[in-house]
Amino acid sequence: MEITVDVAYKSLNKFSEILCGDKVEMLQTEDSNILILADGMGSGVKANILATLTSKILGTMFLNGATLEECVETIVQTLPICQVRKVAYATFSILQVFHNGDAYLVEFDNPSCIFIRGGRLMPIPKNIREVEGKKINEFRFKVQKGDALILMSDGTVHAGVGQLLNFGWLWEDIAAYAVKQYALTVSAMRLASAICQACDELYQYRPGDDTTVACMRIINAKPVHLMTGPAQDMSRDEEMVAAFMGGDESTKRIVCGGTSATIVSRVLKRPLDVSMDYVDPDIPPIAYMQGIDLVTEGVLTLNRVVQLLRRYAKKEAVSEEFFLELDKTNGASMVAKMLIEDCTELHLYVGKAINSAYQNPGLPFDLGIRQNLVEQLKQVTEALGKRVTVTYY
Amino acid sequence: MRVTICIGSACHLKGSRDIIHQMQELVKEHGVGDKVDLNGAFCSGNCVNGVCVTVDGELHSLSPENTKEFFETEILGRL
Repeated sequence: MEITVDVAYKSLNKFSEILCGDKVEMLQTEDSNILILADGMGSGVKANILATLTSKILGTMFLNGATLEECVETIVQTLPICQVRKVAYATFSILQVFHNGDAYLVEFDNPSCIFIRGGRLMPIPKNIREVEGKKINEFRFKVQKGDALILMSDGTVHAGVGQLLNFGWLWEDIAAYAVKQYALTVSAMRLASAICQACDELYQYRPGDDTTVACMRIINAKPVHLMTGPAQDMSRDEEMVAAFMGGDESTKRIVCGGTSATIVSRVLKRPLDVSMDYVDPDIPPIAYMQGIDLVTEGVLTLNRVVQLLRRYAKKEAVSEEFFLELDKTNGASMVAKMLIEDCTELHLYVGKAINSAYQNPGLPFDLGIRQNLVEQLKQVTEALGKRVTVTYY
Repeated sequence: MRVTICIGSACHLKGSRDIIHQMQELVKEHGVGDKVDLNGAFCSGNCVNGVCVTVDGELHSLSPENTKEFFETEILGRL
């Protein structure tokens, strides 16, 4: 059984700190996805360096097939020793999920992973091994579609300590909250974001510690096909549309571009119904075609999509307000939402034809930038941990 | 009478939103909603000129400035 994952994380910096002392790495190997969360001792620059080193070493070594012993040994020998506390220390969690469903969890001193299956909390057994004098918990198991796994830094369990809550937010209570949010949310980001938001509220918006929630949800593969731009050579129109229409019934299809939509409509002999609803003054209205999930204008819409995805990739900017923007019904928000929440792999079908009318210096916007935009879209989508392929015509 | 207004990239930048708004107001004002069918359209392949507007398939180029005049002559004039 091939599985796919949706991974995302959200961090809160300790109040008044510019840098976060927690660091998350999201990696992909040929046959697995790896999620690493490291929490450096202290806060600010020092913690950030410890956490970055730890997560990068773990990531790089794991990616190259090193054993846990080798990784931990390298970390112990590499981390700079704190002048104040005379120790080098960062806690970490590693979650590796293979495409065949095998999973491997390693935990060192972070709050334990929250494992939710079918709306219920699953226990993670204690199986402690000592490596380089550090007690490390290992757990090998199988994941199923629908499972959610949540890694956290200790900023979560400290939320509200001594203020709103005597002993902070207990792990059991976070887990119960996570189970509730699991049912209410679909994406990994919304789940991570909901827990982080609750921590922020318990801290009364002044987090006493760096707080990070990293979430992995096991999901069905959700391919999205996006076609934009007419083929350079008109004789390839049919070939391009055929490739775009390929894929199974789980495939979602987006056409970005008026001319592209006209071509698809002609090739498939399906009428195109263009709306006049300017939901957003800067984004031209969308259109409808049977069998196509979304039809929008091209470059102006894609430009906004790239901006939205960039905001999303920059975790600090992801708030409830961002999701409100994402829920809007203009073409750009709808494309961005589909790419963020309903896509695990993106296949782009890009025409290289240049519309000579767009070379007009009288236009306030450079419309000849489709390929540049596509490149930006590819980069930012990859930064979200999704696979992207581009085919030019 | 079927009127389409292009909302493609180039036409959008040249003011299709404004033209659609004006047309909708003008149709309402003259009470000809049952006779004039306003539609959006994608690129008509004439992006070099103004905003592409077709009246029963015949292509015209408009700007927000001459929309009212166009409506009075080409649309009301033909009803």
